[in-house]
Amino acid sequence: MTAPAAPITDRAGTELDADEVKAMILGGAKRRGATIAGVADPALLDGQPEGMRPVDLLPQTKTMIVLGGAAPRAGEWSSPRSEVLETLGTADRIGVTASAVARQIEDDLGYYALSVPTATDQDDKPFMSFVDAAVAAGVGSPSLAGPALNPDQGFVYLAVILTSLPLPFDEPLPTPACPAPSCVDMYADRGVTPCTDVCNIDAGGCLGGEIVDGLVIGRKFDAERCRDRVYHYWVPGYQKALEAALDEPDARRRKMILYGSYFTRTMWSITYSNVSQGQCFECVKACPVGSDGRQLK
Amino acid sequence: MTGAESSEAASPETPGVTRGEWAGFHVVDPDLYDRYRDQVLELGNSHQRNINEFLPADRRGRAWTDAEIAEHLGLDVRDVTEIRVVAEHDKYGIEEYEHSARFKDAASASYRERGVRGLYEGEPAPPMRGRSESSED
Repeated sequence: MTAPAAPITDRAGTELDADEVKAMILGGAKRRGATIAGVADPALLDGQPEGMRPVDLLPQTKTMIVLGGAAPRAGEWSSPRSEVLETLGTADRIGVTASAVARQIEDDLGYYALSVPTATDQDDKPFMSFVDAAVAAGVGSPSLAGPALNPDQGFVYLAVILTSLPLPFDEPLPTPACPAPSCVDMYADRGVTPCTDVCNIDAGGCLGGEIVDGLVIGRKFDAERCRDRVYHYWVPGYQKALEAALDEPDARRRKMILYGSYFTRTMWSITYSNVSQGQCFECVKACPVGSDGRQLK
Repeated sequence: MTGAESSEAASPETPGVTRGEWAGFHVVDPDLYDRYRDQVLELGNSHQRNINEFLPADRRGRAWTDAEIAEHLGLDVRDVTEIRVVAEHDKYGIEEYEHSARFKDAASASYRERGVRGLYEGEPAPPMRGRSESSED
């Protein structure tokens, strides 16, 4: 852990202990629902594309706080109905926690704080890479499947707070959570891991890659197919169905599209967009990282 | 004709309206889209390789940004952004969405029944959601 760049004061100008402030903020985040939290040096993301760097969003940024949590419950992971997880994919809960932390930093300490939007930017890209932020904060590491994985908890939703509050930094994890030892063994045995087995890019899925010396290399990821599965009943599906309806010259057939089950389900998902933003979990469901916590009696 | 020349050709004459804004907002020219969509998808974020943070620096490689692609192809960055966004939505037809539902049913069932040692591997194609196999005949 590195030392803070400058002394921290409260609104009255009283100097505060940086470690105590950090413990207070991260502890408060955990009481509000975060299950993991870390603090990163925003300079680690200086190599990000212009517009997606922390200082592009908040020029006063000195610290990047990363929260994780709000993962599906064990019961939801184990449901035989894939539709259950289809309608529970949400970053909302951890996003609300991040907003509360940002407000606490501004109201109680008098430092700028910005909860990075979890929605998409104007060019259909995220405002910043939450995965890279999680890596920088030691909250998780990149995975073959895509999400940042925490070694103990596996998949979690992420939120990022940028602030001018100069907190001591945590370090990236010393070893990656992916590939897990059992995945290395499985790859040596069969040439696939659980995630690349169930959603293999060479068999109509999204994922592929090799494991060499315990590291994932040559990763293959069909982002469009993954998006079509993750946002199956959502904006991309809505655009497709709307295009089909606009192209259909027969009014009776057009009605069957617009009033039919696919279009209706998609409209419901968009209406309840806060709980429908992740609609495919099959690669992560098979992932062993964090799976111990999903085994209940 | 270069990409830049093609962009110029699409420029309207109306004062105050910049190139490509024939629909009242920036829309890429369909011919320009057809010509560059595969290259933009390839260079962009669609085929992510070797992004693992734990790889040595000389083996890591991020996707190109829209600005980098624009410079490489000689296009306006706004056209590249539009080509990328449209292409990302355009790569698969609506049939893929039905396939997604069938994939999730089969994958979910395989995990429930056999765990990670017996996961669904894409074949045979699962039955339609909500329909029995016999009703597909």
